[in-house]
Amino acid sequence: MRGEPVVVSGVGVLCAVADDPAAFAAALREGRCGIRRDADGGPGRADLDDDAPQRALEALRGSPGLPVDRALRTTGRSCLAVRAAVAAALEAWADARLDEHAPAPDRVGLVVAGNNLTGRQLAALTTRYAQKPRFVPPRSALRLQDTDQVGVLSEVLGIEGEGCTVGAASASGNLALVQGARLVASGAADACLVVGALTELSDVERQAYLNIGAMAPGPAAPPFDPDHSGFVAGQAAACAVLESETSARRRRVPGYARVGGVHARLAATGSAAPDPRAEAAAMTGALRDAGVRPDQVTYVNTHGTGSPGGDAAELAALDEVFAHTGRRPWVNATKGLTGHCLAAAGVVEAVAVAVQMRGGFLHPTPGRPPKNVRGAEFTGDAAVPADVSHALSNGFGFGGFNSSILFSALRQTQR
Amino acid sequence: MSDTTGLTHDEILRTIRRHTVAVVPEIDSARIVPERTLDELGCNSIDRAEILTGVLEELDVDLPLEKLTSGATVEELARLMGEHR
Repeated sequence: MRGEPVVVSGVGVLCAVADDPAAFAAALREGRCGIRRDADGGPGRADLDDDAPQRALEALRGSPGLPVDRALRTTGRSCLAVRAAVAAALEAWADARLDEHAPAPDRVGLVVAGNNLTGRQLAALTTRYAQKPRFVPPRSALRLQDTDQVGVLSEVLGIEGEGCTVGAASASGNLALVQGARLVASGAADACLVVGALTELSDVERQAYLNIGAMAPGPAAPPFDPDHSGFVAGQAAACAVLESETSARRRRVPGYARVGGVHARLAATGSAAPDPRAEAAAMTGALRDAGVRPDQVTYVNTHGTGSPGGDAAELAALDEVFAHTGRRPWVNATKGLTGHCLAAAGVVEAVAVAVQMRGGFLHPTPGRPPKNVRGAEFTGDAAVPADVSHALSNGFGFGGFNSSILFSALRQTQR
Repeated sequence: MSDTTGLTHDEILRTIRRHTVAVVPEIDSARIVPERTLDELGCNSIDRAEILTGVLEELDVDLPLEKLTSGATVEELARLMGEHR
């Protein structure tokens, strides 16, 4: 990436398998799966426990500089998505030690990943107020906008730099990381919180995902398993603090990894069809942006949702990027454990990459992923010890969004 | 002005108090006395609209929000709502 070097200086995450980054690392290491089967044979889900945000915030009370009380007060009546975003952001804020010493408020940016985040609330309000519209709560005008997350987070954390939401369907997380990294690299911000927003699907949205054939209709086999039949919806909020290396070093924060390169592109389509050429170009573009050769890549965190067409396209893209090098990077699929966290997925998986790089392991791949793939070596039933130099994290979305981010190990002198 | 369904003035006051604290948790409920206006208690115009809409919905009072002027005390708000039930 051109400009100021950018590092991941803090992370936060709440998902079906963990309430915080340390628990997430432990859950990934053991390959714990958060997907619950439906008793009636319908689609499984990997929901976030409604009490998780409060639990996570209470666990942060030990840090006196964190606005835990303000967070609880401000979000007392908020939906799960906003409460989870605030908890994930405070975790990352503490992890990056911004509670001890933060850049000036107007040097901190905020990018929330996701579009159409309020479908569930809109559906509930539509039903409740159909016959008595005069009682629609006035604040709905705020709460029904995706950008409410930006406003609430900025209020709780006192952020005054540039902020917005970034929407790119299931690639929203990655595209938000791209936007955040560019804000920091360009010098527009010293640090930027990138928050993956939890998606609460309405019944209609859920059914639409089923009807289009993307969501698995019944108990689902994991991504890349021969019996895969679609994704399982997951709920998570996650946060990565992207910071200029200069700022992180000044604050003596060790960080997880450098954001070495990014690439996002469209595929000239409004369809949901995956495009192996565009996916390969996204990975190649991120490598070129970082000045890293394909054979230097240790690990790829796949987009791997469990959709047969999507998984096959990604295998073809991995083949195109890596098969000619004679070296196969390790790959796994975090969505097999967390479910597909939709708008948040890219940030959840960036956090997964960060904690795996720091922990020196790669999480297991549940199910029976293919063994003799050109261009990819899947992890098996157990975590693999790994000293990751360079890791790609893929994110693809309906409507031709293709993206990949390259994370590189920090040099020893920087840690 | 009492009504036929038995909702007393005090019950309306209690409902206003409950919604006020729910919308603006910073307000100490003991400070919500009938002679105060919501503005004096620290509510901004959106807080006020949110509180009053919630009370009107709960009590099923058909009263346009604009009738509940910002200068009205909690006592006056409760009386107006009681009259329109």
